[in-house]
Amino acid sequence: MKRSGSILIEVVISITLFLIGIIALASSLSMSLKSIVNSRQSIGTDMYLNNLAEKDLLCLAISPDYDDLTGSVATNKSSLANLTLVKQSGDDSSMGNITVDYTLYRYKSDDVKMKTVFYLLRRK
Amino acid sequence: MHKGKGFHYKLSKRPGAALLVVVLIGFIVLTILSLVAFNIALSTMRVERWQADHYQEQQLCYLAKSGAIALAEEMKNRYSGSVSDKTKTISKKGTLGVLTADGVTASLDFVVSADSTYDAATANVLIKVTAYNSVFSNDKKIVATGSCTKDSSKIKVWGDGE
Repeated sequence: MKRSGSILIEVVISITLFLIGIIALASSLSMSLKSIVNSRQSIGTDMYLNNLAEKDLLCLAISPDYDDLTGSVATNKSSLANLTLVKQSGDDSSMGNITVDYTLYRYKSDDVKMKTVFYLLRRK
Repeated sequence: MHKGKGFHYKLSKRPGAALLVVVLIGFIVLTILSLVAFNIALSTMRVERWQADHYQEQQLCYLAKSGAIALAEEMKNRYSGSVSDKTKTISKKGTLGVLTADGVTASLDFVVSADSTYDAATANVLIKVTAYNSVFSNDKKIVATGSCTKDSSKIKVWGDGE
């Protein structure tokens, strides 16, 4: 009767320790699940955009004047200078320096959270 | 016997101690499980890092190859009409900087060379594009090499590496 409260303290300590463990495990599980879901979504988008860009690249390789590119033309915020090919020693052709104008095509998901983006270059 | 008696004495005096021991063992098991979960998370992060690296390589590869295709078309337009240039050696170099609104920066080095074979249909044009993922640090590099002829813009053979 003198130590009747001691078992209550031990039970409380036990429950506290157990709860800490369970909460830690539950939060780590929840974080893992969220991470797996995000990863799945990101891989899906990545693969989709990758396929689009690869398909367009193949079409350009087969026919350079292919017109139905699925990517959108990159906006003015993107900077792309002209390519100037400088004549090197040993070049005995009549052409001097050659300038090539490129257009940048962008492959990106509409979902703002998705960071995946691919680019293709095309002659203007 | 003496020890056993002592233990029995302690348990009977503090009956909650057994529960505490059981919960402590449970806690240790949970800790081990958490460590396993942490290890899996670390492995996942390693895989994601590899994926990010691969993604950058893919980005550069597409830029390099599409740049080479476009350049092959330009070379065909310029050289296929000129009868005299069909038999001449070509050697040109240039760099193109790409800076996008999404923060993708790349620098593409183009090297074009063509031999002086008389027959334009067999005169090979070699286009080598080296793409770096940053204009400033040059920390990732992809090399795409395409081969076509002076009178055709179609790249028939692709090569990678140096």
